[in-house]
Amino acid sequence: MAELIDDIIKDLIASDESLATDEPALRQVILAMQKSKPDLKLDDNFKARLRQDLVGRVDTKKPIVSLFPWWTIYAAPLGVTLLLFMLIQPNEMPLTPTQVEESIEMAPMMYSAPGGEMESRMMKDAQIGTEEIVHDALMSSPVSGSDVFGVNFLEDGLGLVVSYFEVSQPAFVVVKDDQGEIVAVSEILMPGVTTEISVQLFKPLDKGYVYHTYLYYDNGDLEFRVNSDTDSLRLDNGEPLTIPIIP
Amino acid sequence: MDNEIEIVKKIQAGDGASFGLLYDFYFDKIYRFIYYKVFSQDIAEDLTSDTFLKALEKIGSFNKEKGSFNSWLYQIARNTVIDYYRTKKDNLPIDDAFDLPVENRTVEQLDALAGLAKIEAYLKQLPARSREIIVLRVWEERSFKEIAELTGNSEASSKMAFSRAIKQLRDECGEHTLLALVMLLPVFALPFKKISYYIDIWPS
Repeated sequence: MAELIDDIIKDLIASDESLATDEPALRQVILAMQKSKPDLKLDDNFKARLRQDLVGRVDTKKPIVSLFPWWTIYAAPLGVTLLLFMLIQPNEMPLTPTQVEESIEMAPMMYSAPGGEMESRMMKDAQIGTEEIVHDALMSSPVSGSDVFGVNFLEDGLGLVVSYFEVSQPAFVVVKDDQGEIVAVSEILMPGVTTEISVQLFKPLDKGYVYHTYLYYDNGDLEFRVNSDTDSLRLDNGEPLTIPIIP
Repeated sequence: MDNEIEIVKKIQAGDGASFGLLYDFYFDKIYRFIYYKVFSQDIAEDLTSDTFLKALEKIGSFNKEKGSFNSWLYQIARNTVIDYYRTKKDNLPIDDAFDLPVENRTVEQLDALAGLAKIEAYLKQLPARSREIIVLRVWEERSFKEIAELTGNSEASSKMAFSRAIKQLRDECGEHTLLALVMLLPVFALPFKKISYYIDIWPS
């Protein structure tokens, strides 16, 4: 205790030399506070129980950000099958890691949704010899023709950039793997036009795997909550409208 | 904590063992921090539990560019305490138990704060942030560097706030004679702990 008081006094005098004359009074005040420190009560059983509960919640099978609807497990394989079918259609150029490395030519990526606009976006050339190879995907919403966003991802699988964002209300860009696990969530993006927003990945993207980019409209609390924010971009059959990306 | 950011990334990827490491490192610190604001074991346990649950829920959005995990976690703890009092006391600006009217304190809180007596009255007059810095320095024995990090202030401003608060306590406490009585208070106050809030037995 004495050492602590000495340190405190030394700091006080260093910050205000005039306090040197009041050193005895200051010592008394600090000593009084030290002596009157309430006894801390800590239950070790509570500490252990809480630890067990919290660690159990961080299950590798469960996403950090909330649970998904049960049907996601069944809808995801169907979505992947449909995606692959679309990718191997004539005039479509599937994007494989090998092709990316060897430099692919410009290829259109078409996506249409009932009741909405059809947008096409040309894939950018791969850049040989650089650390990053950037691919671009753009989708428009069937709900509102003006809601649009584009996502770039970095070839090293460590980063994403929302390259262009124009929506009518606050929203989040969310990336999920084909199991439905969330791998990235953007910060909240406000209405209007926004460009070049970095999105932190929770884990690196695996090459050759399909990831889906969703748009979730915020429910008003300005925080991403998968169960209450609105995954509002949906097809007529209720399936979510997403942009697939393949690192 | 060493490699804290790496541990946070592992937690974000779903590694429960890594969260256990953070919990083991921070639990006592957070619990003490909250306890010295609420002075009740039950409330401190509930709010500590809430703090770690919120941290776990929001860890996906933690951004190291905006500050350290340490300051982020302490801010969650601080807000949890404020929210607790806000919901209990009709949104009155109560940051900790010092701000609670005596008649609203539990027996446990009265016991815990009884030893402070007159000092408690002076501490109550300080802004909550100054009070927090004094508690962190004198009771939790944190360095100013640590205090600066977890309060989000600079080390210099933390020292300045502490210096001002201590000087104010010194001025309020008065002469050495009174201070000596305050120091001896815990010995004599035991039988009068609860009564002291209703009868002013100290010489003016």
